[in-house]
Amino acid sequence: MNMKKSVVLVIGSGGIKCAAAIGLWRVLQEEDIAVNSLVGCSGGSMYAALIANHTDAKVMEELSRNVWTSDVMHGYTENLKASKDGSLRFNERSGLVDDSVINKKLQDVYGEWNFSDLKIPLMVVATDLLTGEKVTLSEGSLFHALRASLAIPIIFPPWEVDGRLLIDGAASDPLPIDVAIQNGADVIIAMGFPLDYRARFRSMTAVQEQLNSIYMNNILTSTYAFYNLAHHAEIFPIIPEFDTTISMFDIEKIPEVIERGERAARKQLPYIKKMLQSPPARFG
Amino acid sequence: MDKMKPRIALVIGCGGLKCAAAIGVLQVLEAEALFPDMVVGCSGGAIFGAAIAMGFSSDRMIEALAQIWTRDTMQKLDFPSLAKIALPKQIGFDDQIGILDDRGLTNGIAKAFGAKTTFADTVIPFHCLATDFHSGEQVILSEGNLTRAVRASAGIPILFKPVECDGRLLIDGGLSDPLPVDVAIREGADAIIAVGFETPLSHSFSSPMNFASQMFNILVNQLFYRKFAFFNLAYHSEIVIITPQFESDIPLNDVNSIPFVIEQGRKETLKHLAHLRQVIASKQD
Repeated sequence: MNMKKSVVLVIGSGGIKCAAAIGLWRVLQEEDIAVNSLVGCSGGSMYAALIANHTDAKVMEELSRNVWTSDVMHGYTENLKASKDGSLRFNERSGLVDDSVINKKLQDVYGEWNFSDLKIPLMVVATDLLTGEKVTLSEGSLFHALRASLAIPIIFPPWEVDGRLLIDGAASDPLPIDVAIQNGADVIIAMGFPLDYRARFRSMTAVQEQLNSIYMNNILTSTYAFYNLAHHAEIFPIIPEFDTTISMFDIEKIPEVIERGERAARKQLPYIKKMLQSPPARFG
Repeated sequence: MDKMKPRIALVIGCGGLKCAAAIGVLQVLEAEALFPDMVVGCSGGAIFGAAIAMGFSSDRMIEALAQIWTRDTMQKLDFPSLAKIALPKQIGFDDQIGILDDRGLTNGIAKAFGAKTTFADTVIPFHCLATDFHSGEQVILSEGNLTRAVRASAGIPILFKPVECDGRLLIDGGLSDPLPVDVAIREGADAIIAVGFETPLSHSFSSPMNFASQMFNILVNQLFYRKFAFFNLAYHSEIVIITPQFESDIPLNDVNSIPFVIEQGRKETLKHLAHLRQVIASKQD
């Protein structure tokens, strides 16, 4: 009798830190733990897509070095100035960055892919700019879904999918465990990234980032608290720990980030294995 | 032996001027002879929570609000902050930023509650909630100077400067806990009436600032929904959550809307009254 448990991997938002998912993926492969589906949010959605494609870990590392470079911020400084002196008019489709660079980078890797081409089913989370609702994308062009999920407001222009203007999935859910639950997960391996707090403030942007971090970290904590209590599924949180601050374009630190991801995954491994070996709960 | 009287807590979440709906909530409760045994407030809710805890009548609360929410409070700019924002490198930037001159707010709160009033002076025990700006943690204020605590809790970031309390720099409680039901639970409430507010979202994006405020509004709503879901799951039998409805946001300076806001609070409370009576009756057994 086949009573295998459904394992869902959730990779939350966290920018370049999401490369830690490569370390987690290596551990799962070595231990022969099969993943039945994947959920990704913001930066985490790129890695979830690569895992869903069974991309080799070495290739994933290479792709990471190509994506997290400062040229994705093309036009930011000029546009910021122009928005202040009024020469740049803003509307609901605006952002301070000229997104042709990030679009091209995403197209180069994911441009040809559809969700249906992936080896493992994938769900990508974004946020509806107008209603604030979480939007789960799981069909059609992968590029559109990833671009939407990555659209950090103010920086990148929102992205339209099926008539809705979408922004960064992190705004509605930095770690979308509920999407995994709705898809019938028995075991959820959830990799999340709390944001760093600042000690010093040198500009208004720093203050806004701090407020953003406070909100998101409190959302992250209450998400864990809720699902621990609700206990719809076994949830294994994987929170990589970093000794130093990893900033947005620290590509030199990618090997360290991956290693931290691996370490955090190994810590939970005995519990995950034990859970997978025990017979599934029978209901009814 | 007498039946045990259940301890009733009134929790008022963050919501700016919408928190005036708490006046309407209280009117309905008083008409039913339901008097809170403790009050918990967060942000705008801390102002009304403190007023209720001080035993103010509805009229006096509206008067207090007029003292706090003056034209100056909402319009007078803080030029040192604006200079720091414009020229951070030349002037030097720090964590003491608020684009509005906060003296109007601080003095208004002091005038309404008394500059020297402490938590010990309230008629009903009161707790108010703020957020540590550096660690993001929830901070519960239950003793010491009342004006300072309310001012800290209501310190909407960017608009008003953070407030230092016991060596911590405090901002708006809504950033860590928009509806602090957990404080009432910790304080031993048997029945909790929680008045919470969703923030209506904007459809206008004419500047980067609009995107920033939309993002913060989405985040505070998401945090609110999660806390709401958590407390419903954990303690559903004791909590009655009242969420007065507003189709569009009530701007902070829109004092003319106050009667409407109070009415929305009354209406929403009446809808939950039967449930509330049931909860309280079940706690008397």
